[in-house]
Amino acid sequence: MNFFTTVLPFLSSGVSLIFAGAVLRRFIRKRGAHHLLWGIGMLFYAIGGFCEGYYGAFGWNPLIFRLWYLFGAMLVAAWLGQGTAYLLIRKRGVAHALMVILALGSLYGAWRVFGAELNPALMASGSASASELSGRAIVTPGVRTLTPFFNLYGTVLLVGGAAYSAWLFWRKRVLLHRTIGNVLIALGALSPAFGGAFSRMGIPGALYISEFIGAVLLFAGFLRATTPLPQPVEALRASQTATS
Amino acid sequence: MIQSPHHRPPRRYPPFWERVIPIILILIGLAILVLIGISLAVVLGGL
Repeated sequence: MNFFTTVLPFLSSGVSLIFAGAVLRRFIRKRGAHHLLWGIGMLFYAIGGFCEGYYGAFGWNPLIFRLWYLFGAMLVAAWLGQGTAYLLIRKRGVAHALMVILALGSLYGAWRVFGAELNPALMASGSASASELSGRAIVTPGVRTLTPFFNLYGTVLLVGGAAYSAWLFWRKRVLLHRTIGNVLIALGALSPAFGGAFSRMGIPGALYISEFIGAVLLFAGFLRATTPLPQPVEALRASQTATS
Repeated sequence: MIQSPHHRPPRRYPPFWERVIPIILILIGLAILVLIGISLAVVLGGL
């Protein structure tokens, strides 16, 4: 059993599942559409990791491949990003409109992925081996073209939203734990985004490692952002004596 | 009645975070631009 192609993606899936549970529990207690969508997004993340581990352990299965591509490659970033959209976009109508577009796009993507012709032999091409799942197995034209739109939407919202939140807190020098947490979330979201890009370029090993790092950083960021630091650490006041 | 002005010293994070956070945020911004470029290259058929 290869660690990088089997154990690592199962670990990613496990971390994602635990994270999804924590976020969904927060949704049950505190509501908030952003919690629900982040929880759903991390479930997608977990499905993707599980499928990768399954492929590493048991080999090719067309259903597993389709589930991996739909949830792990195509939709996860967009649904996580949509959660951030609900958090940061003040006009509820805009967030709802984006949600409708994403839902319809997701249904369309599912229809295309489950209707696509597959050839697993194509995953081993160029410098890439067939040890990792790859979208190259999709033969039907136009399916893989959908993925960058979902990923770009999700990555810009999730990474940009977290970085923007971190910047807001930093500018006011308040709630250091949320600044750090959002930085970790931004870095965690960047990791699989770059891993997916490198994988598409045929760089082996990048995807699974980046996904594991991403899951860990996202979870760590969430925990940090929701756990205040001890009071004296939150902000220091410059040592100045008030004049009288 | 004379009132002395209450001077509030500015809020600051601990020095390490004061230095590190803006650097990381700039790098994250650059990374987003790179990802947008890569995505556009994929969509336009370059990759």
